[in-house]
Parts: sequence; C-alpha cells; structure tokens
Amino acid sequence: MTAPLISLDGVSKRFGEVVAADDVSLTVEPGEFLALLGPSGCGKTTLLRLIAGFDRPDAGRIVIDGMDVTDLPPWQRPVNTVFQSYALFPHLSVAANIAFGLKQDRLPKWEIELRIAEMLALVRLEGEARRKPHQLSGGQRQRVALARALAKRPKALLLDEPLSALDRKLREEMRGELAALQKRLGIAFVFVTHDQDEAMSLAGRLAVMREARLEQEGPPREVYERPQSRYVADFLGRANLIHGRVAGREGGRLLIESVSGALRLRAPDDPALADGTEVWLAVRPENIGLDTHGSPNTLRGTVREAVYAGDVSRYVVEIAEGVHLRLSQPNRAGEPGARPAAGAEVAIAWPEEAGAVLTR
Amino acid sequence: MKRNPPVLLAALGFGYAFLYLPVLLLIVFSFNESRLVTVWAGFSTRWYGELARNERILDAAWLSLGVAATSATLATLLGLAGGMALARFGRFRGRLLLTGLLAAPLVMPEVLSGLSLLLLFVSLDQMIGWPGERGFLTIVIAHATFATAYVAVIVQARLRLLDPALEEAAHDLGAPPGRAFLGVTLPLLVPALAAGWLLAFTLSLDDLVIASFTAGPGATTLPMVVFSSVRLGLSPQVNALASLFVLAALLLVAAALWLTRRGASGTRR
Amino acid sequence: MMRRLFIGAPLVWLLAFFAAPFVIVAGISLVPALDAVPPFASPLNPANWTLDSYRLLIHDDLYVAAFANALRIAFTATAIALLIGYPMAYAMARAPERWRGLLVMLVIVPFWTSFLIRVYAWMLLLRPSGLINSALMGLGIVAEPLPLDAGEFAVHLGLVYSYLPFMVLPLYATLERLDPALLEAAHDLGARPWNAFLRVTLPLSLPGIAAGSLLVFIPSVGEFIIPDLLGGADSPMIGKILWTEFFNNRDWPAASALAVGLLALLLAPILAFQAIEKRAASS
Repeated sequence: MTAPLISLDGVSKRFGEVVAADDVSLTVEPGEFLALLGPSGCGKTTLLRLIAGFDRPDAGRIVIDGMDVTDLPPWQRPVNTVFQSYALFPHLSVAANIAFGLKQDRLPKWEIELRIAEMLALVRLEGEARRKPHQLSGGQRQRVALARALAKRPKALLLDEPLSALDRKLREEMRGELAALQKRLGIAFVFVTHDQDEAMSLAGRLAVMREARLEQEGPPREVYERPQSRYVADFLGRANLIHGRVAGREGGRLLIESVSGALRLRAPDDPALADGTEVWLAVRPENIGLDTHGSPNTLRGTVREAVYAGDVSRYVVEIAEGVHLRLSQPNRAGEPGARPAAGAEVAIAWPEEAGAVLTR
Repeated sequence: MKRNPPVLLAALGFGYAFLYLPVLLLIVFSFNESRLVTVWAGFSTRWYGELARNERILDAAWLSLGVAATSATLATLLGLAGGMALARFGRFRGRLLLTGLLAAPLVMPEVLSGLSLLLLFVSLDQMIGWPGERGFLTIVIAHATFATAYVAVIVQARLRLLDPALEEAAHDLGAPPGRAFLGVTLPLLVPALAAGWLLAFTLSLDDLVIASFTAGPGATTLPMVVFSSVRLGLSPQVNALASLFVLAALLLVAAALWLTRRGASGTRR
Repeated sequence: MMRRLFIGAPLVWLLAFFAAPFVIVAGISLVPALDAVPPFASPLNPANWTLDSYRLLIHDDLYVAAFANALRIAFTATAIALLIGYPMAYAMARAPERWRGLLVMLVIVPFWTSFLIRVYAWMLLLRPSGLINSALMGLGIVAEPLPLDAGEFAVHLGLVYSYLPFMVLPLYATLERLDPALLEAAHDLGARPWNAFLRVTLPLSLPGIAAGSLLVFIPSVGEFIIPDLLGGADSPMIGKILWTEFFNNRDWPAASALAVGLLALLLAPILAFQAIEKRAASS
C-alpha cells in the first residue's frame, strides 16, 4: 500500500454564509485520474482551489506528496492548474506563457528552451510558439493551458472544467487527447466537471459531491451500478426509485413491499436491513425488459408514453396506481421485437441483481 | 435594430451642433485679422504669432505643463495602488474609507477642494514651516489628489474586465504576489495607466479654480492667465490659444482612444 | 508588504490632502477673521471659537440668496440638460452598432477640451456685438441687440453646455444595455410605441436619469467659472460669493462657513449618487 499523493483530511471552507466544503476527506493516488463530479454550486471547484492553494481551508489538513501544504501559498505547492477560462497571459506569446512557470523556478535558459519545445510537441503546437493567445482557436488555447501547467512537471495536474468552453465536437476530441496524455505522462489528474459523461469516460475514479459534502466515491462502474443514495442513483444516469419497506426474505432475496400499490419486489439481500426498514429500490431504465423470461420480478402494467429516440425507445409504464417506471430498449436493426404503443398492456421484468436497495 | 425616427435624428443633430458649433466658431475666429474678435476682417495667423512672442503666456504654459506632467505621474502611481487595492484585495481594514476617499473627489465642487487645500497648506506652514512659499509643489499636490480618483476609476474598470484567474495562474506557476504583479498585472494595466495619465494631465492643464487657490503669488498657470485676460475683455490672442488647446485635446483623445483599443485585447471572454 | 503599500499609500495621501483639509475648513469657520497673516484667529485656541460666521450665513440676505440662486439655477439647468440629453442618448443607443463608438466619442471629446475655453466661446457668441445678436439683427428679427450675456440666461446656457456630456453618458450607458427584446415584447403585447416607451424604456432608464441628473446638478451648484464669466450681478451663485469672500474680501472664516454650508447642501445628492453607482456596480 503506497502513500496517497494528495490527501484532504476533514477539510471545511465557508464563504460568508455559504458552506463550500463541509468536512471533506479525500485522497488522490499517484498516477490516477480522479473526477470530482457534481452539479454547479456543490463545492467541487472549491475543493480544487483548496488543493491548488487559492483558498485556505477553515479546518482540516491538506497533504501533497508527504508535505503538509495547508498553510503554503499556491506558488510553493507542487501542483499546477488548468483554469476553466484557461487564464492564458494575453500579453505573452505561447512560448512565453509556457516559460512563465519555469522562469519562476530560475531554470537555466537552455533548459527552459528545451522544455518549451518538449511541451509544444506534446500538445502538437510546434508551429504556434510565437503566436499570442488571442490568435489561437479555442482548442489550441486549451492545449497551451495544458502545456503551461505541465511544463513545471507537477506532481498532479488540477483541471477545472477544462472542456466546458469548447463546442461539443471539439470537446469529445479533447476528451480523447486528455485521456491519452494522462496515460502517457503517468501523473495524477484531478478533474472537476459537472458533465457525467465526461467524468465516466475519462476518470479511473469518481468522487460525487453534493452540497459541499462528498457523497460517494469509487470506480465509475461501481458508483453507477452500486449507488449508495437516491441522489447518486439519479444524478449519474437515470433511475426508477420505488419507495417501499422491507417485508421479509425469501430464497436468499430481500422482499420489498411498495408503499403505494402493494407490489412485492425481490432484490439482493442485505443483512443489515431489518424487516420494516424504509427503503428505495433503484432500477435503471435500461435494465428493465419487455420480455419477461419467467423472472420472479415480473410485473404487469399499462404503457403511458412511448417515444422512439433513435438508438433506444423509451417507455413509461404504470405498474400500479401512481407508480410509473421508465424503461429504455435498444433499437437494433433486424430485431423488430415488441414495440408497444401507448395504452398497451405489457409485462415488464428486471433481474434481481439490477436493483439497488437504498436507505437514503 | 429599427432606424431612428426623424425627430430623434434631429435631437441628435441639435445636441452635437450645440456641443461643437461654439468651439468651431472660436477656431474660425482665431484666424481673424481684426482685433475686434467678433467682426470678420479676413484670414490671418497674426494672433498665433503674437501668442508665440507673449512671454507671460509662454512662462505660464511651461509652468502648467510641468505641473500637469508631475501631478499626472503622482496620480497614476497613487491611482494604480488604490485601484488595485479596491479591485483585487478583497476585504481589508479601511476599505470603506478608501472607497469613499477615492470617490468623493470626483463630485466635490472645485471651490471646496481648492479652498480646503489652501487652508491646509496655510495651517501646515504655520505649524511646521512647510510647504513655505506656495507654487509649483502645492499645485502639484492639489492636482495629484484629485486626479488620483480618476485614475483609480480607470484602473478599477480595467481590472474588472481582466480575468482574476490570470493572477491565480501566475501564483499557480510559482510567482509570489510581487512577481505576479510585475509580470502579469502591470503589463496588462499599461494601456489603462497611460489613459489615466493622459486624463490626469488634461485635468491639471485645464484647472483654474483649484490652482487659483493653491498657487502662491509667484506662480501663474496658463488657465489663470487666460482667465484674467478674459475677465478684462475678449482677446484675439486667447482665441488663438483656445484653438491650440482644442487641437491638443483632440490629439490626447486620439491617443487615449488608441490606448484603450489596444488594451481591449486580453479581456476575459 | 505589497498589500500594505498599495492600501497605505493612497489612503494616507487622501487622508492628508483630501479629508484633513475639510477638518481645517470646519475649524476656521469657527473663528473670527483678523487683519493679519494668515487672516484668522487660531482655531486651536477654544477661546476664539464663535458661531458668528454661521450667524452671518443665515441672516445675510446676500448669502441666503446666493444659496437659493445656486440651487434654483442648478435645478433648471439640470432639467434642461435632461430634456436635451435624453433624446440624444436614446438616439445614440438606437443607432447602428458600428456608429455608436463614434457617437459616444463625440460626446466625450468636449470633456477633454478646456472648460474655460468652452465658456469663453459662449462669451464670444452672446455679447451684444456677438454672432447671435449680429445674426438676429442682420435678419431683421430684432432691432436692438438682446442682452444675452451677463445674466441668468447665459449662466443656464453655460451650465447646460458644459455639463451636457455628464448627462448623456450615464443615460446612454443604461439605455444601451436595455434588451431590445423588451420593447419588442411590449409591442407584441399590444403597446404602441409611445406607450411602450413610457411603460418599459423610461422606468428602466431611471437609474441613468438619476445618475446623469446628479452629475450635472452637483457641480452646477458649486460652479464658479460660469457665473463669474457669463453671469451678471442680478443673481449671484454661491461658488462666486465664496470666491469673492476669499480673494477680494479676505474673509477666510466667512468663506469657510460658506464652504461648510455648501458641503452640507450637497451631502445628500453626493451620497445618493454614490448609492446609485454602488447599485449599478453590483448588478
């Protein structure tokens, strides 16, 4: 077990009345790609700024590479930042922007030249060294910002919504470049985003934030498939949440009785849950099928909405008075399958393992 | 955007004519041969020639230029510091006081500013024997005090347009505040500082009231000479001088405009 | 270190050369005038303190009239400037975008030309043998030259002319920021142009009206050059009286009391202006 590269220990920060970080503890491992994910205003950018040193925590410690940096100013911390606005110095050329941090370290001139060339090659901007930032395209500016921050060979790179200023096509392109860059350099990236697609496709680990607190962390797949709260279940992708109570156990499965509509549903057992506990059963729309295959979780219902959306078809099915479930079915060529219309009576089912039992 | 109806265009034309016609006529009449300033008697540049030989006016002009350059430089330094403090330092003790002190001179009637500063100089001189004879130094202090507020406004406006992340980026890349200021903020403020300096220079060159109060008997600035000769009656030399003032103002405006244009690059988004 | 210098330098300078002088003015307004150098008794000695200058301020008809005239003339001049400036600013804000920069520039340029010179230009125009009277007589409209100069008419004209840019610029700034879709929405909902203007544009431009009016009113009240060069003996304004007390009568305590009175009169408008500016800056 190696020591974490960055560790936040009980960090809190408030701005006047607003609590931006509330007792957050989090670690970043060497070489990992961590995404801080959450809606705007949840405190994810504050967390990044606390690591970078632009804001000081009111409580808690921050350690980077074995050194307590809690009281160190940003210019003495071994991490660098890619800003949401890029913050390229408008009066300096691309090369001078990249050289800025190296000059602060008083590196010899030949080494600065060498690093500039190395960085320009890394972000494929060899021909643009003499240009000013306002002469570059959005994507090029983004790459200069990356090169400038990486030139100092930081222990970790902090990225604050770095793709949000780009249009969609460029954003997807840059995603691939970022992932490749991180793999090649092997340094830790801490990436702040509100875009769950971005977070899931880039990060090795997600940290989902909610109202200044860390809600859940783990690999994308684990967080997606095993959410620990209704908030995470519904923030990452979509989830049907069925409110109910634990009604007992049957054949190694948990039985849940819904609050409205008297349904009995089966879910993976959790010994920690006593009978009568209030729970929510979360089931993702793509895990609910229209073909039942004799699953024990088979329900009958009426289609209330049916929408063809290209790659999938989406349905809303009323399974009991006031209980609606969303489901989506992939549309594959050559698989006509059943495409019920609104008003049709259907049977729906999901494998028991696909349901997550949540208590909050 | 819909086009302006004729009534509005007429109002616009009237407004600009009102603003410019008197000054244009003044310039035309500065080339009048006649001594009677309002009767046209043929084209002549004689009043410009007489102006160039008028020692009193030339001395006053040199004093005014010296005062304007010195006070503008002082005001630029103080206004830079004040503008930075208000736009970038967040909360600090005395912030409200500094805000008020930097805003009040903008709206203070000149007679109040002039009188109060003179009384300060007189009282100080009585108590500590400084500043002694009033003249260049006291006018410079007075003009620098009022121009500081204008420079601070311009500096603050520019800083508000600059992405605050630029300074954070400099810190992030290893530059402590002093080096971040010299390497990033100051170069980006150069156009604003130049525009502020020009404005301070113009305000000083233009000021009659405050200079009249704070100047001693030995020091006479250009506006003071103009004022006393205008009080005695209209003079064709003043017409010529006035035209030169307008020309100088146009050049300064053009310079300031060019600086602001240049400064527009690098503002956020 | 840098922080301390940047806050301290302007703070100390302005306290010494802007705030402290007003304390001294207040002090000198409380002592009697002397025929000496300097011409007043020491305000440091409480035995000298007296309210005589302020009694004079309230009881002397000339002073009272000068304050009243200044307020009245500044008020009418502000109203006239608003009537001329509003349509100008409105037309500027509605002009095609590529013209707007130039139009704004043309309003700013006079601000950079000498105030004294601009007032002087009107002296040329308004005197009995000046261009306006020559033109009127040449056209046979009047037989005798009109007494345009040296009077309230000329003072109003001078104030409006000198301070018009201060009215137009804040008005333009608010009008230009108005979303044109608001007017379109008003038309869409059935308001005719004049109605839409009264119910949408005008209320939304009130901050600009207030800021511009105060920027014209405040300096007009204390103005010296314009009443001195363009005004007559009929309606003296406070700025000129203060100047005369100081330079001609050498009654420094009286001038100081007038200054305190003027500041007291202007305190409310100055604070109002700063409140408007603060609200505009925060939105």
